[in-house]
Amino acid sequence: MSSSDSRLRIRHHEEINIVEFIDRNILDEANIAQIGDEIGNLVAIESTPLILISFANVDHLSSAALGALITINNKIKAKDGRLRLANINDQILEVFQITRLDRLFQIHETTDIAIESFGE
Amino acid sequence: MTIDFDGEAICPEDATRERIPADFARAHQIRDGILSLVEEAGYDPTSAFAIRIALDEAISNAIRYGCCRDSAKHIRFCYKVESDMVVLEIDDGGSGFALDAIPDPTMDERLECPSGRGIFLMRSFMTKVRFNKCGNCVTMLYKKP
Repeated sequence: MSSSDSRLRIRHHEEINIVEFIDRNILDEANIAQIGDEIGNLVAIESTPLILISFANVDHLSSAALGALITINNKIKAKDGRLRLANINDQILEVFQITRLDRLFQIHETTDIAIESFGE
Repeated sequence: MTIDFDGEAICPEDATRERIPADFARAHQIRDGILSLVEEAGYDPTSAFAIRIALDEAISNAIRYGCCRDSAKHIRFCYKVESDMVVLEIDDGGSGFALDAIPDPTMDERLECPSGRGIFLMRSFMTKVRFNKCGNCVTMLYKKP
């Protein structure tokens, strides 16, 4: 996870894994597959995964990236974990809204608010 | 520029036409060139975002499904960027698909399904999107708001 070719930065706040994307465009198929695998591995090693994904560095995404997020969410739910999304810019938020995925995912304005939401 | 979306897919005669191998890197070069024209034509970042989303989804569908990721196959681009509208056409030459068979990805029972949002995004972000009868050529129109 900490290898130099990782597409992610991962840090921890208590039991919460905070994931940030290195790429500004989550579009390329190879990147999406790698991101899905990396977060999937993170979910696999946690008994009750608490994952916060920050989109702070992300300018673009694709339906394939949305699909990877849904797969990750399904894996987390299967382990009674929780997923939160944060720092999504207005254009990308519109993508979540028009696809109605804002109903599937818990989306928060900031990382701090998302961290607090795990305690709710 | 006149586009008749009620008739057959029409890309203007003076549009730029390119035929490339079904390869993401090459297709993304074409995409980036189109987006540069869009920026030069004065479209704002919101419009550029919309056009990029639609282009990426159309390219992805063409390479993944139309050409089955076979870089020996080809896709054809036809595009025209004007000050008030952008026309994009992508033809993958594949066997196509039945548009009516694509379910609405926003239905409650489809929300947790990881796939099936590409065409929905194209339609959401472009002014008009139409496929030819067999579904292997998509023409998209974006009118500057």
